Amino acid sequence: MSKPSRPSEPMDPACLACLRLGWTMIAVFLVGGLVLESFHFVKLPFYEDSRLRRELWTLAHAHGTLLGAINVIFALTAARHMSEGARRARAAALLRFGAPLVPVGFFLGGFGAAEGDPSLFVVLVPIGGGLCAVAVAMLARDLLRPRTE
Amino acid sequence: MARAIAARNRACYDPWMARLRLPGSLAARIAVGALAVVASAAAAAPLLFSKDLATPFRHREAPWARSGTCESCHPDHFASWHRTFHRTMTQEATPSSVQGAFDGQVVRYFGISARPYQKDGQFFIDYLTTEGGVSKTLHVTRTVGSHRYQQYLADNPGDGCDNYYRIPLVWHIGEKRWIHLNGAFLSDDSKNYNAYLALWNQNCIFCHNTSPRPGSLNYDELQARARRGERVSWEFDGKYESKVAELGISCESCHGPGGEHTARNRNPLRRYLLHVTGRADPTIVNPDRLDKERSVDVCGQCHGQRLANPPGSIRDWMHTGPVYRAGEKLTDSVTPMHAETPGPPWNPGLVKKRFWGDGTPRLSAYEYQGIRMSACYEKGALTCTSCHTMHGGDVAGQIEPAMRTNEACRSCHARIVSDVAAHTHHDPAGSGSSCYECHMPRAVYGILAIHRSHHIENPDPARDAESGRPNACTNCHLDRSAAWAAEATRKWWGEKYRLPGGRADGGPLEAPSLVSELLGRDPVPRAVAARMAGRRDSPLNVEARAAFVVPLLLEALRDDYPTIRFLARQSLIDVATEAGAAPLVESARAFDYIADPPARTAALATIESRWTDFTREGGRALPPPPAGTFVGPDHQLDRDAAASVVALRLTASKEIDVGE
Repeated sequence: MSKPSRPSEPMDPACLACLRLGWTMIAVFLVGGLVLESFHFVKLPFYEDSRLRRELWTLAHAHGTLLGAINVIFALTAARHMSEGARRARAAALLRFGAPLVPVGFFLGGFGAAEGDPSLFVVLVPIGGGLCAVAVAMLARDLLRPRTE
Repeated sequence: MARAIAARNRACYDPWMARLRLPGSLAARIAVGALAVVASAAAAAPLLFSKDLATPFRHREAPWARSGTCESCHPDHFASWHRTFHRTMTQEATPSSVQGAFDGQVVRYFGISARPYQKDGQFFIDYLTTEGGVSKTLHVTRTVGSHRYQQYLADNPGDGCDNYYRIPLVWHIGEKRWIHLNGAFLSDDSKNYNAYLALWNQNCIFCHNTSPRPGSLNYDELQARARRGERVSWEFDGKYESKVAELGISCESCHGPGGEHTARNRNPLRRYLLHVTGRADPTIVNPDRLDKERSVDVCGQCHGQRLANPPGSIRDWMHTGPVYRAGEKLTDSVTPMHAETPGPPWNPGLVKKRFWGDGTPRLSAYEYQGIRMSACYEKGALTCTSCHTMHGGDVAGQIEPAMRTNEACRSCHARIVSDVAAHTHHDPAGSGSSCYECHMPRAVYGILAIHRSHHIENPDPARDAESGRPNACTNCHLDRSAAWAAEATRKWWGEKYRLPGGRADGGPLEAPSLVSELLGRDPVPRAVAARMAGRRDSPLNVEARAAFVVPLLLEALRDDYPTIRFLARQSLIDVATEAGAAPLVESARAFDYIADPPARTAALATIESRWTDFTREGGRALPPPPAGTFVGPDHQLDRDAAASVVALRLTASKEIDVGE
């Protein structure tokens, strides 16, 4: 049995924070998916009777899991390919700040929602989405930028 | 080692990261900025839309939107409406909407043979010649109804217009069979095959669709011809190019035209302003926000038979349709029909016959008139939606389960409902303690069924006997008379209830009401009695009931109104099933209530034979029948004794024709 390999050097703290947040979000929102399934299983009226709430909470589950994965991928990619420390830290912070806002906005949007519109908490979604988009764009720009070394 | 890594990690934090923990960080600034935009918009919205929301809206001028548009913002209400029979009231004929057996089997009524069949997903009816050839083929293009029975409409290519004709063949959904319209309406056997051929565009279109516009092409010409004394057939000479906003009864029937509502609410600020403040949107009608009069008006536009008001506006109806929109005062544009409403010149008593002697409606589609006569409406706050819900409950009645019980009355009559037996003097668990059974008895005929009266009132045996109405007490106490019921009412509820002076149907006051009603001259009480005779919740056990009810029902199977034969057959099946008389059940099931007379006579002979066998060999000791039922100790109807009552039916049974 081989010993688990150790990284040759510790991960940049900003990327490490993204990694931790990413896996935490994946864990939370996967469990959230199971909870939603259990709502179907017991036919919970509060959940079943509102098509919009079902849709919003499903979106919260899906986006939470996806953005968790994006945090993980970002951490691994940025640690290797974003050479400028301050820029990397800034992008990581934007992603960490924005990623939870999206599923939280969808989730809270399902409380007190009118039939056709989520509650006002849904404004968190575009804010979080915008922050994530900026972070990912910063990473993409660094990846596309020609390397000088 | 760990400390070293931690120390290095801390060292790696750049100043920007340190600032992240403060409110002034980039992410926080973006978030706060976005929230500030939202807050500013929220603050500005009341000012932006103050005039819009304060201005009364003219619904008559608004465009129609169709239900599909409503779905995107109101998916739950759309779904709860989509399952209703309102939606499927009128449909294009497709394999999913057509319920009838278009299977090529020949159906024969009044000597006419027809063969419904389908081809390439389309539906046709061939009329056959006596030699078996095809004399005419109808293309079935639309359906009407989807609950109890389904009617079919055929277009007539080449007639230069868009007329749809109602075909006399109807598919009975419960019985899974074709029937003739004469067996669906309250009408006697003397009709011919085409008696009920009708033009959809000038008749059915009004109540079975959303925003009907008949689009008459020659109304004025036909009127002019009629004024000149020429013979005009409105059914066959009329030409129409009809339009509807939507087939069936959809959202806008009850909420008003939704085009402007849709357009204005594309603006999210307006929507959220309405959500957050709970204000009413003037561009759409919410019946829950209407006062009681405007609320019942919404349902009354179809569930209350009516005439155009002023009468001359019928010309506009035939062109552009009724002008009433949900939320308006219904009587501004229609006159609800009442017992005093004069009928047409050729049948002045037509309308009066649709009401009992005291003015209470006795046919369905007069629920609006019934509820407006009720004290619960006049003195209280009752509306249609107090019991019915258009977006919940069972599909058949659109009533939540709790509202089918005495709970429906608790909000106003809590003391009575809490100790119901003290009020009813009946078993609190039985139907004698049901608010509905006594105050909304089943005494209304419509679409091959008996419905509850929507005139909510106290049962009064004297009033009912004198106005020819079935009475709540004797509807259940099948062996009892109006005089008995009046005595019991006076004993329990006081001298304000008087003894009846006589029966409007001429029957004896002391005889069980069932006899006069089931065998008498008026087809509506006959229909009600035919179905009430089969009820299981009578205080009599099944043997005591069967002893006199079955012989009376056998006579009702001879009625010259096929609908009454249908209801009597249903009751006979129910009673015989409960009594365990399997052969009798089997023979009753085989009785085709709309077959030709020889076939019915033969089937009835079999039923009577089975009944005789049951009384002799059935192994059940049937008690003697009650006095006054014309049923002898052998449990057979004494025809000589009953002749006087039956004669009334045979000679004057055309009291009403085509009650739907």
